[in-house]
Formats: sequence, C-alpha cells, structure tokens
Amino acid sequence: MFEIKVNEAGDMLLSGRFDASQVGYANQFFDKVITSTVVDFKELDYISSAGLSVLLVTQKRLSEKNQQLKLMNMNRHIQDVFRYAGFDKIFVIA
Amino acid sequence: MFVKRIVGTGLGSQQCVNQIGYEDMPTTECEYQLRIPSETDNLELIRDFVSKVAEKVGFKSDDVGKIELACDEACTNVMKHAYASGQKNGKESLDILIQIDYDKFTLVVTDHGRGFDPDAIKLPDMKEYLAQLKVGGLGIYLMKTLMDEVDYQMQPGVRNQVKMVKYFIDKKNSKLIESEKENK
Repeated sequence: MFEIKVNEAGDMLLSGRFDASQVGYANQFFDKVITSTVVDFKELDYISSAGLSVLLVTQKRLSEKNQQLKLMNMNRHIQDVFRYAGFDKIFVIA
Repeated sequence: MFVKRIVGTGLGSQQCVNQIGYEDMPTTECEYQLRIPSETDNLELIRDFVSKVAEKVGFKSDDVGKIELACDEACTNVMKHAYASGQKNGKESLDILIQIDYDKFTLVVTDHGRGFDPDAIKLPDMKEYLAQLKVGGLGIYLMKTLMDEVDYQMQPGVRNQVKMVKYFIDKKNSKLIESEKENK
C-alpha cells in the first residue's frame, strides 16, 4: 500500500511502501510539481531505488529552475537508504 | 495465481546462528523457496517472505532492511529487464531461494529470461552520477553496497541467477576467528 496526499499548502505526504509497482501512481503527483515543495516522509515505511529515481527525476527538473524538493521526517531505515545511495548529498533533508 | 513453496529442514534458526564455528556443521542447514509471477505487484510479498526469514535466523533490524532492499532491487531488475515486453505471455515467474549456512545467508534470484552480460555492468561513479543527477542504474549499486557478495550466472533464455550473500558476522571478524582457531 502506498499513498500520496497533497495538503492545501501543496506539501506532499507519502505513506506506505514506495517500490517499483508504485512509480506510475507517484509520477501522477510528482510530474505536477513545478516549484520547491515539501515532501513529508513521516508515514513512509520503505523506499527502493525505483522510488528514489522518481524523486531524482523531479529534483533534476526543479533544479533547472533553481527550485528543489525538501524532504522531512524520514525514519532511520529510509535515512540509511538515502545515505547508501549518496542521495543525502543532493536533497535538503530536515 | 502463484505457487508458494516454503521448505524447512527442521533445524531451528537459533541453532543456525549459535553454532557458528562448529567444525561438524553441515554445508546448508535450511532452505526456503518462493516461486512467484514476475510482476512488480508482487514485490511486497517477496519482501515480506525474505524479511521474515532474515528475522527468523537472527539478523537485526538494520541487516533485515538491507537484505529486503537488495532482494527488491534484484527482483525489480528481473521484472523490468529479464523478459522483453513483446515476449511476455503472462506466465513468467521468478524463483527466490534462501539458503542458511552456519555463517551466512544466501539469497538466489532465478529467472528464465534474456539475461544480460554481467561483465558489461559497470558500477556507477556515484560522485559523477550524483553531480549530473543521472537517473537509473542504482539498483545494482545498492545491491553491492548492501550485501557482502553479489555474483551473476547468466544463461540467457535458460537460467539467469543473481546470488547475494550476507554473513551473520562481519567477514573480517570471521577471518579473525578462523585464524585464531588455526593458531590453537
């Protein structure tokens, strides 16, 4: 189960498990992001490289306009995945 | 529909871990197998299977997470690349075999698709990769980062295997223990 909710401020709340089966669903939301956006990982339990790639594609697109994703509330396992992949160096993580 | 087969030889998981170093231990103590359709919708089932076995044999949460993610990456590669989309008939499956030895956890992912040339795989230079925000190719990098050993055996159209190993204790410590045993 994976779900994305967008609040009134435009912040994205991810929940569940973000793997290759969810890329199409996730792209429906991330493709619409055109300015710097907060992505809240508070309820996200898991992410694989497929999920990381969705974030990276979005970050790459936003960086061309000096915008970025701001990631927050990651659990320790997900922080570790970002660290293993070196993604902690290219995203703002709060 | 999928076929799920779990085979246990009857030796308990704690025995697997606690008997590290016993010279008369058999080569493989326990095996667990899962055959499942090669579809990304099944990744969660696969992760549940692998993580439950990893927990059962005594890995701590951090290592369970690493094994779970490495397996996800290996299976995702098969689902995305092993079977050309035009050749799919809906019956493609992949097999996951877990072997528990006295000192290690071995995970083998097998498919019967077109495979690939493992020698052609180059680990990305992550510094350059991240500087250019390249997308894709992370799966193999993560597998090699998360597991102690990753090995490929490819027979395209016949049988392709990715074998990944995680030792119960740090490999360097294992060598120290072996060395100490030899010195006694």
